[in-house]
Amino acid sequence: MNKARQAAKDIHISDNAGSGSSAKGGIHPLARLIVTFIYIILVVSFPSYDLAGLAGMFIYLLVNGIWYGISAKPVLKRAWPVFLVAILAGSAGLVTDREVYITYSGITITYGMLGMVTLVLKGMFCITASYILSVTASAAQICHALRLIHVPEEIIMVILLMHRYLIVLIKEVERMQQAYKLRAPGRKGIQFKNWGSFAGLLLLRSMDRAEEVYESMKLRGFHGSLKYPLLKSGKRASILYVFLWGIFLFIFRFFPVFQIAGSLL
Amino acid sequence: MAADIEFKNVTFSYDKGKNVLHDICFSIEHGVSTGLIGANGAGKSTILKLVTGLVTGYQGTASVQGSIVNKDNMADIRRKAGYVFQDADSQLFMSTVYEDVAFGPANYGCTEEETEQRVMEALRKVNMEKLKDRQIYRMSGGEKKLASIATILSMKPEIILLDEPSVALDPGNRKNLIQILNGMPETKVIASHDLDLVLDTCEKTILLAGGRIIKYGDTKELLQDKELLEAYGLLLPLCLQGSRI
Amino acid sequence: MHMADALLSPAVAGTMYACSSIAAGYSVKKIRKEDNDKKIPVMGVMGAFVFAAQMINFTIPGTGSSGHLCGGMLLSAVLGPEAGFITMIGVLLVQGFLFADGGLLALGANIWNMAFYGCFIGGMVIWRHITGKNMSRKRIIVASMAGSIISLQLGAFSVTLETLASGVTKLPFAVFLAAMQPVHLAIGCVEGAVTAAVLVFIYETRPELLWNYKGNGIKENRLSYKQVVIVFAAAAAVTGGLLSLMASSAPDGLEWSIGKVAGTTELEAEGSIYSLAEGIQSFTSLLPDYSLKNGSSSAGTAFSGILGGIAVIAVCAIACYIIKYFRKKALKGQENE
Repeated sequence: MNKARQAAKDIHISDNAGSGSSAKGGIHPLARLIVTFIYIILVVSFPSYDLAGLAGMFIYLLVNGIWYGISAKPVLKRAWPVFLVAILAGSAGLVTDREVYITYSGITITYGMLGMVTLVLKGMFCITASYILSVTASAAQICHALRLIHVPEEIIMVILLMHRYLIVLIKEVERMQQAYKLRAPGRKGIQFKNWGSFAGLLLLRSMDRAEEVYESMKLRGFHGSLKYPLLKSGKRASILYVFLWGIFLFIFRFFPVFQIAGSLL
Repeated sequence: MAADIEFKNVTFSYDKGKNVLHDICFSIEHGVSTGLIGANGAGKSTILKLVTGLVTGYQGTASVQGSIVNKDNMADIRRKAGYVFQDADSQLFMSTVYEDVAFGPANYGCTEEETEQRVMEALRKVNMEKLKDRQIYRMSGGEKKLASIATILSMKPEIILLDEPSVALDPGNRKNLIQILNGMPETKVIASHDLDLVLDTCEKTILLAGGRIIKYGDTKELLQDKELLEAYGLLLPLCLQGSRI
Repeated sequence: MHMADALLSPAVAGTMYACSSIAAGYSVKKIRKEDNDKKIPVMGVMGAFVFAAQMINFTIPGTGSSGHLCGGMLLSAVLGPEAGFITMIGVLLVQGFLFADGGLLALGANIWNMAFYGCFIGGMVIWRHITGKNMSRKRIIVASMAGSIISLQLGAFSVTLETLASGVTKLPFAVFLAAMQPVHLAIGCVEGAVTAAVLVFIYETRPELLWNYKGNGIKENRLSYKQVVIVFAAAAAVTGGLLSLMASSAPDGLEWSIGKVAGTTELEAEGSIYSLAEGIQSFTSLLPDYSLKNGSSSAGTAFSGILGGIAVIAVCAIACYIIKYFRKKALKGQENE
């Protein structure tokens, strides 16, 4: 069961990152969340033909990628569906937007092509930024950040409990699926006749689990809220982090840095 | 002084007419550890759940250190009597060991320092101080079991109820668990099919069948009674079965 | 159906965040009012259930392919629409933040498209009306199919609207719609069939788990496998028919209304949140479209741009490696002390 195993692995990755240096006074998760959002908004806001300007936004990904030692393969794997969707959405421009942008030694590039490539890059950049956030911040850190921006406590508790029981239930699915496979050789998925009982049993087990979890909470004085310890992080470093990245990203968004650098060379 | 746990003519049913517990009477003195044994469906877990108020609506009188088990006394009773679930994954619902062990004390209004002190003390008792920041889903079955005992110890209960504590533990972990249980001075009630564990940890034992108490007595005596055990779907503890080689 | 960030403009994304936040605020309020402290643990574990259930491959009869569950409708039938909605938000947040599935900017839109319709239209309106008074297998199947298909159609329709309103694609509305709706009709049928199968199973084994079950006993009118397939096919045919009818009879009307709401070139929206979001966007795009359009010497600009780009990227990468190297060294030094 590749999918389940992959999901379990992803959880491990994000928790590993979170329990590392950042837990002990590193950059505040909210700072990282804010920078990621600024980044995505700026990327998306580029005009549809501004490929050159957009290319500058790659630097943020590059620096973070190097810093956190992120390999390209999982990023590309994740970006694949976005890539396809962006191609699809951009392809209409190929037909409608044939105005020539450049002809260079016989090769013609139209605005439509430019627009499509820009859109694809936007998609890839955004997903990569999300990916970087996801592998460098743990669930606890993300929830801490969400709490600070006043996401309702109910949602945060749901996320944390979900995170805790994801692996338990994924393992359950894996076991059930293996048991099914062993008795239904040569079949790829779950047959129509068994849909209800298979997923239904999983649901019943989950409900029983929820019941016991609730009992366990109740026995230890639960009154409707879970108390999670506050995370410690460097305040000054975090403000600086947002500030510096903010300036950097704004410069790259509004000035043709690459061209300026090129003309200087 | 009142007994730690006392049942007087307790009868209980989930569905009307089908009694799960039938006219149960026993009392457990302070500091004594007691085994609850019996075949599947004998009513072991129900007794534990009834003591902590997880099942309600019984007839008769059940009391914990003199206070009757009912809605009004529930908070007090739950602080005195901790319940360790059979499935540690249900018991441990927070992300890390520390958070989970701190859950009880924090809810009962301990200050942060006091909570931390209680957590560390509880973890020390089960030899798990080093794993305090470990993500729970990454721990082995044995570690989870010890952690779930620690979540109860941190509430400083006077009575600890354990439901099948040795299930799914390997021999090494099981031995470790027995040592830890024997080192705990609290009153213990252990519901288990593992009669060797009961023999190693309990002074007294209650044999249940079909929701009734068949015998309540000294563990060593009761667990040597081969005919009695076999009559109720159990076997002699392995260590008393003698060499078969 | 997860939307990507790049398909949305900040203005539209902000609007969708606002819409979803209002729905979330309403739901949270409703849950707090219920004051049932059991709800949260159940929601958390059920969120994990949806996640795990999404890993199951359901083989679709008659085809070689397999489908998956989205879960909004199913959750609502078990937890009620409000709790179902909050749980689905949890699922989408976990997917977005911990798995980088679906964009962060698009999160508001995704919550709306995937959770809102499933829980409130599928769960609150359709499920409650069909199964509310007397629950039976037949009613559960009809409600699940109708709820899933309709909420997925609405979701797909919203995706189309949001993308067009963002102005990122030049696809004509009708073409986009014609591509989106049938695909999601198929997905909706599978979703509906899985949801129906699960809910019937729950109804037969532990009906008290269903949110609006009132203990009216299980009615013995068991549908056979064949009958289920017929219901399945009929639901698909009806929806397909309606859809093509709609597409063929009123394309102009729809075109017109979309043009009015969104326009392909500019947004003419009202409302304070909308205009605020639009304001942000117009601010960001006010700044010079400095580079390429109408550039006569664009080849030259492009060349210098590429050269400059390579140089800047190289400098940044090298700087990053150097800093990382020294930091590692410094940390090692600290450890040795």
